[in-house]
Amino acid sequence: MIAFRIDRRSGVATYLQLVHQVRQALRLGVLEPGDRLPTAREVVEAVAVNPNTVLRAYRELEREGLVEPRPGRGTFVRRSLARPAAAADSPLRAEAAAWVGRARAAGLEREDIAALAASVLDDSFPPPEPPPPFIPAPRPPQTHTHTQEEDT
Amino acid sequence: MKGTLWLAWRQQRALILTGAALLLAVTAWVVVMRTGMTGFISSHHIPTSTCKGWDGDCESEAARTLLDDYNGPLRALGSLSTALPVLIGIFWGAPLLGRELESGTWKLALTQGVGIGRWFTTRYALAAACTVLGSAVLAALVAWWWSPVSNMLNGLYWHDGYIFNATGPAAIACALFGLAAGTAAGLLIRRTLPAMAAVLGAVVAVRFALNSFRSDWISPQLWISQGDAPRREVGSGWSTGEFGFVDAAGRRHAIADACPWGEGLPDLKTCMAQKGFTGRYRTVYPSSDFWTFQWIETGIFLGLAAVLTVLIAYVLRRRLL
Amino acid sequence: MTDDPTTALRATRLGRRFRGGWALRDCDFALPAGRITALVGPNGAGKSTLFHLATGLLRPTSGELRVFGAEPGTPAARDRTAFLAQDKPLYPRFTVDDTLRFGRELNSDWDQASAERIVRAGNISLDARVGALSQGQATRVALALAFGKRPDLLLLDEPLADLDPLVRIEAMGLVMAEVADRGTTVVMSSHVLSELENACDHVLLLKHGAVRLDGDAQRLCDSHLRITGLADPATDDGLPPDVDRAGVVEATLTGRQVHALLRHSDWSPGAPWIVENPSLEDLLLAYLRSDSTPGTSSTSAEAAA
Repeated sequence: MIAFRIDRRSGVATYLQLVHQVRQALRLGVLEPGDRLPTAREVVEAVAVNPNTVLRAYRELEREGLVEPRPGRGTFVRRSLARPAAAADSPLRAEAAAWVGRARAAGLEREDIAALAASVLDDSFPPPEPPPPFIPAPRPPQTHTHTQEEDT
Repeated sequence: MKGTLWLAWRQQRALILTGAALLLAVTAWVVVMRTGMTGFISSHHIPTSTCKGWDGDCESEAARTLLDDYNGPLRALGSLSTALPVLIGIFWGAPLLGRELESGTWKLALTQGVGIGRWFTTRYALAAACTVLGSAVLAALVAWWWSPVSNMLNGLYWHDGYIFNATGPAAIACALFGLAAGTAAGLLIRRTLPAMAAVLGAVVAVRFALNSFRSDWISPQLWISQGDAPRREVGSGWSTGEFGFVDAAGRRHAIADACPWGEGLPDLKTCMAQKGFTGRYRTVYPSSDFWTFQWIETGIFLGLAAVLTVLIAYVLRRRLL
Repeated sequence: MTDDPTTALRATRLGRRFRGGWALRDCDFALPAGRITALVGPNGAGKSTLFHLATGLLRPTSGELRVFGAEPGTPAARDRTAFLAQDKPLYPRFTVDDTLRFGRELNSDWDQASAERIVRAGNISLDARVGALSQGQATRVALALAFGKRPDLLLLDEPLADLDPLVRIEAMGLVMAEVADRGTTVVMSSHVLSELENACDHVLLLKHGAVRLDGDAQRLCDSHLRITGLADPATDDGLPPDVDRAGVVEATLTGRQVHALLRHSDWSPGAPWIVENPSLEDLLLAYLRSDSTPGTSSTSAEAAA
């Protein structure tokens, strides 16, 4: 099980905060395949958001193939995101650390590096995929138009 | 109990139980006092049945002691019964709607499944039933205690405020008027405390007006004594204080001292003859008029209560805000 | 139209006048069923008047209001509506148990189990006197009373006022859980716009007794643009000449910078402008601030959408 929390000042859409937190939990191994996600009722009672927001987040996770709804029983985790490639001692991390070191040597500030990384990520993962949460983005422009599915 | 009746009971039960306890205590006190009084009467052989009126044929030390001892407590009971309509108006009527409006709980009650008509009717009916019951018990206690010493010597008479305002159907009707006035004040003023003050003023004013104008409702009886015979004694009647002489044509001359007597003056017979008077008169309401006065005032109080109730219903129907 | 089951609350030329003047005037809107509508407006905008009209505690001076097609105050409408007034009135001398019995006695359809569950979940004893409860506990009891009625339409007038932050989340959580369970339609007024942003998916903004904004929250945000940039020296307001002035909700010129909210704009700027969709809070604040309403035609278009 996982407990959600909402940062009302982050500027990140609430449903995306929920999606991120599930992904985070999957990466950290807090959630494993077969685990049940809390029901919409349980989530909204705890964090006081619109139930449709939770349903929307779960639909998004389902679309990504991370969870699956089982009628009458709840929403269950299908696969894990825990990846050895992203672990602390992985070669990828070492490469990223080296890259950051070169960027600093070239005179870039922390924000410049983050913006550069975000820009590359944006090119590699086009919208609607939002930027990963570990890049601090003070009030990112909501450039994408939401689809009509949840508006009916 | 179900529905709105349960709600009315739950909200008024403190009043009902307090009222019932007080009434019980008063009843016990009256029983003790009256038992003592009748014991005194029988042990001293006071002929109370032949004792009616100012000229009652029972002047005795014992009779005077009896009245001295019991007039005070009887007056206290009469005062309580007379004040009851005011108390009901203040503590029952004024908060009945006033407190709901003041605290906003009317919004709670009127957004449930029942309509405003049933909500109000039930609580008003319960309050009215308790008012009738309570005032009737108090009125009956007054009548019961007073009856052995009624209209006797310098005791309490039927037309005294302590008795007239405290007993009979008019006392019950007045209590209903007090409830209606309090309820209307609470509804119109929407605050309990000012409504309490308003109902105090209203009931006292109506009481005062009725006491002042009581003798105007009906004409008193004309008691004529021919010639120089003494005027007929008032007895247990209620003298209007008007008396004088009548002439041969039957005209009344309300001049009590037209024929004074004293040293060097003509005697009464001569004086009357000189001035053409044929007899003397006085106007008196006999004790049987008690019921006429009672029913008139009962009608007035019930009429006022009905008008106020219609007003309350009208305002409620037009909604409260 | 009136029997449309997807409309919970419909106003037609609705008006209500008090001695001081019109509290609401010529209001037309249709609040969708199954949604959580934020009723927003400055003090005195007519929010409480609207709630009182919807519960039948007030009658309209002109026009009409319908709750699922029924006239407010009639048994049909009363049975489907629950109302939590601003001061959250409860009988202070009742126990919690008495308060729930009050709901049971006065409603034909009463869910004692869920009412008790809500009370117990707040660790409130059924024997406690209501007058002795904390503000948060009293709010919980008031909500239990409202939910025990199994309403289809829940009207909440400033439910979060006077509550501490923890209790706010708790109270809103309760309301949201009820919505998740039963699909209850909620209309909620609040001054705490940031809380509404997460909870509400529909907006009705009143100002000076008139409807200023009515529509789906997301669509309203999507159909507005917040633009910031270098003021155009050729115009009075600093906005580029090709911006449709009828769609400017507010524009602020500060030195060389202009900051504006545009409605229904397909205006695409040149490079130096920062253009983004406003957050709901930003949007509502702009409308609350701005007094120059750019017509009502698009507002009603939003309602019809």
